Amino acid sequence: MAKKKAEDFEHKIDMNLTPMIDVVFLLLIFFMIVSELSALDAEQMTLPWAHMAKPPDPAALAAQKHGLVVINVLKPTDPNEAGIIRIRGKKLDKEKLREHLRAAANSVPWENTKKRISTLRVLIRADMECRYEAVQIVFDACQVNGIYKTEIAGSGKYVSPPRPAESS
Amino acid sequence: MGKRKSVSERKKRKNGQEVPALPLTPMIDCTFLLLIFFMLACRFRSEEGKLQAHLPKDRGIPGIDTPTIDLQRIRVKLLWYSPGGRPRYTGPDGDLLLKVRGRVFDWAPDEEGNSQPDWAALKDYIEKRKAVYRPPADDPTKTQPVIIDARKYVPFYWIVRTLDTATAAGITDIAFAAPEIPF
Repeated sequence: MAKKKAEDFEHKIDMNLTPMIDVVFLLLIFFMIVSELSALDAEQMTLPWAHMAKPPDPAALAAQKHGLVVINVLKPTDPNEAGIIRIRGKKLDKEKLREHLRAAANSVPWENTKKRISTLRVLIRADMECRYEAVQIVFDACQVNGIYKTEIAGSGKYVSPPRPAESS
Repeated sequence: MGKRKSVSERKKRKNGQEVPALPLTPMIDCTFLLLIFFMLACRFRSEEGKLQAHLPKDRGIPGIDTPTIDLQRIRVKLLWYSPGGRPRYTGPDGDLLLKVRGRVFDWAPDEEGNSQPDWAALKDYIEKRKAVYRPPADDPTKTQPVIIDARKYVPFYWIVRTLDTATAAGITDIAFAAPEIPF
């Protein structure tokens, strides 16, 4: 009897594919999400402190997805520069930014066609250490293209000032 | 041959019936998969807030339909001085000076002990001005306007602090001044 049982078990050896497929699917979904995350609009930076900044509510976010441009202004690597303006990971200069926003404003309906007032919304995410000049460039590009619905990202939590300025 | 096989098959089945264990592994796999999926799907919205900062809508042709200047507006100036105290400084190592109508808002420690311009005093000032604000006759719905006028070398942190303070004081009409040298 014992001999027969052992034989039966030997016959049963075959690879169990289920966990492998599970793991492969897991990895597939993981990488899909991660790659999407890295392409997301929100880049890593230190946002300035603003108590009054309201966290976006999920319902509004879902409705907002369309017609929203997120502009990231990163801290410059060279202190003589004002900041690095990026949209979806692509670095843009003043002229390119204007062109980009013109195209974006044309892709959504106008609020007032005659006055060229756009319904497009712009979220400006600027690093607390970048110079105001860089944000002025963004404001300018928005205004030239009739975009007035701008929002500025801020951190609701305390962030210490960029440089401990001594009272003089 | 056929008879024997059927016997062994029956035996096998019997053996199988003796241990009717539920295969938990695929269920756990699926559960983890779903768990990770929802964790990732829910978490990637970072907890950052927004401040409403609408830019002026009226562009038009210069000289036509010019909005009247509201003399009651508050112009918050964020000036940039050299370490030696020279105004209109152009360098990254300058110092901020917060000024409204000649009044300087001095540095004060914040809740973490870091020194910042006296935002509480600025908020108080804006609130007081807002309380006595009278809207113009042609637009009774207008509220106290605040203009943020910052030098281009000022770090963005201070602009957002100013915007935040004005928002905290209940101001909804906030504008940014045009740069000194237009682009």
